Amino acid sequence: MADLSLRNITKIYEGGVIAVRDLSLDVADRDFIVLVGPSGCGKTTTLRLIAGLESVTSGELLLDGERINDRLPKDRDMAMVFQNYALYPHMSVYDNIAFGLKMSKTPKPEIRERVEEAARMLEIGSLLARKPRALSGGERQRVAFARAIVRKPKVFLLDEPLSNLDAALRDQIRTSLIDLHRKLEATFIYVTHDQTEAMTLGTRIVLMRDGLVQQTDTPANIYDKPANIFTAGFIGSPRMNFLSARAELADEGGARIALRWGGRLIPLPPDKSAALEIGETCRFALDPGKLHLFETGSGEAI
Amino acid sequence: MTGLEKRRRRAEGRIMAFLLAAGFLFLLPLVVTFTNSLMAEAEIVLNYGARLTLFDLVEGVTEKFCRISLLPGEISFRQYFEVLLNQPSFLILLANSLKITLPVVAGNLVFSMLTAYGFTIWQWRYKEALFMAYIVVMLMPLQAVLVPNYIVADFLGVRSSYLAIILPGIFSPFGVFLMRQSMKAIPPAYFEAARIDGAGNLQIFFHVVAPQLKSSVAALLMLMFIEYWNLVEQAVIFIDDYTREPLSVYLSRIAAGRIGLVFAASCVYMFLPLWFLLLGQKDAERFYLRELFAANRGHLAKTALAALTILCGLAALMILARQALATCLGWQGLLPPGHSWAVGGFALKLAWLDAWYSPGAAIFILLQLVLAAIFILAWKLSAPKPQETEIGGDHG
Repeated sequence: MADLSLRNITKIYEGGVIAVRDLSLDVADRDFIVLVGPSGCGKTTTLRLIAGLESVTSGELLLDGERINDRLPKDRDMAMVFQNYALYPHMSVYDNIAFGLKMSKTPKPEIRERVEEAARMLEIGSLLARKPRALSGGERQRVAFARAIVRKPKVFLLDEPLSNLDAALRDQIRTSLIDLHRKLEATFIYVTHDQTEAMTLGTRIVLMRDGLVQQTDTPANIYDKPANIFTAGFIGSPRMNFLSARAELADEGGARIALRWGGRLIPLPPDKSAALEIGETCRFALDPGKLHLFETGSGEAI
Repeated sequence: MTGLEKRRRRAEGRIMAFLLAAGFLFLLPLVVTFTNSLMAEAEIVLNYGARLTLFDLVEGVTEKFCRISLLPGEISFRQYFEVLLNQPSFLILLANSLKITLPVVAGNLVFSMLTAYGFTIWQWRYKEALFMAYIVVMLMPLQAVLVPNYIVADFLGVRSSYLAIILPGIFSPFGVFLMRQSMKAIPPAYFEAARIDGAGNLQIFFHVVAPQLKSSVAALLMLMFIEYWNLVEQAVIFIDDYTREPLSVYLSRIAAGRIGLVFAASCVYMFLPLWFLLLGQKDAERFYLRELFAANRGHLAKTALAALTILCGLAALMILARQALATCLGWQGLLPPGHSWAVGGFALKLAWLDAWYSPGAAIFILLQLVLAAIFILAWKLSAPKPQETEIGGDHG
């Protein structure tokens, strides 16, 4: 069980820089939450606040209902995978994976067993004697995962773990990450700036900008029902087009609203028209992925 | 061979020539000291008569002369025997030197690593200002702090004990500076990862930080050892009992008494720092030997290494052959005074042997030079050590 709650979390750095503003988030057990946003949006800071590497300025961090604001990182029962993997260069892969267990004074036979189990799960059993220097990027990445897994934490914190890998490897590891999440039955919190990763990995996505949460939702909802222009513009490839139009009645005497754009009327579905008044100017987005070309005269559809 | 490659070769040749010349200058005194330490005392007195003793004057010798002679006429370990076994004073002074140097080296290492670690992990307001103070103290010349040191030592009541030298040594700020700079290079993610893994500050220090600083530790050990092994000023000021002097002070006096022993004494004196140096260089050596034999690189260095091996063999053969010849024919002791090239007296008369031997001597020096040059060159040629990918985290 790992229900993590962030209640009105704010982080202000010493210089007065506000990294995270009033962030609230409920993470259910076995969730795969992806924090996504442009760089500098506060997503990594949020992760570090959860891990305990930074102190929370105001707000509450709750793990299974208990306040953990002042708990030391090691007592939070979380493991973190760093962007540069942070594998200790002077230790063999085995020692790297075993380090956390050694620190918690786990008996040696148990350490061996658990390290081997983690190594088996990530298929790095043959690399245990090597030093990190002698590993490829993908292998290092898996060792970093093994180091997190071996401690059997409630929550996995992943800080852009794929950003140092080439594209092909990234796709491959993304798939195995989903497998891993299913096998481990643990909660994952994953930070990335890559919307493809966010869309493919997350059960829920938290989209951030300038320390503020823009939208928290499932990938499908974020894509289909973006809460604001920023969300609409950030998610989706190719990107959406934003255009200005004026709201008008779609037909004489009727209740339907349409947008007048470029001498053309685009009728809106009823749920979208509620927010608009006749004569109001608004911006609308066209998703190139959902545009269909019709024969002349039939107009566009959204 | 392309034009570019030719130019590169030529440039390398020039570097090599420069290094050889520089190496020659630097190594000559060392080589002379070593070879002369293998001379019999009598031979030394003959070559280095610059200091006239009373006996000389009585015997009517008034000429002062000093010939740098490169090779002993006869290899003798008599000097070492005298210095190490026959003269207990030398060994006592050697021990004195160690009594000062070892506590300083060990204490300074512990102190500076822990202090630097504190500077690295703790964030507090006046940290940088304090570190600045460290740097200022470090930049002070020794002469400027000697008098304050003397006053403090007097206050502490350790004025004429080794502690007066050892304590300032242990707390010298240079080590803190060196260690902090190298700890800065460790990415913060290592500390954070260890902290999440449950390591405390001391555990992080011993398991994560210290093992990554091996080369800096070696450098610090070497520098501190050499600094305190060679100390003169502090000893002259604080130590007033000559039986408790370190070797570095005594060495300047040994020449006044028995010039015939000075070379062996110097060699023993140099041996410990050299050993320390080599200890620290082991890692480096392993690295550039690997680089030397790495494919497609260090071609020149490889050739030079092969040449060096051949030269070594030749030189060894010549020295052996000459020594054997001299011994067989009983030429020892026939060395006439004034032959600076230290060739067996009788052999000198045989012009061909002289010609044969002189290049031998040259090769002997050359060996040392090539050795020095080759290491420096290999260093230069080898690419920088491939770093692990360390990309700073995007603290978004």
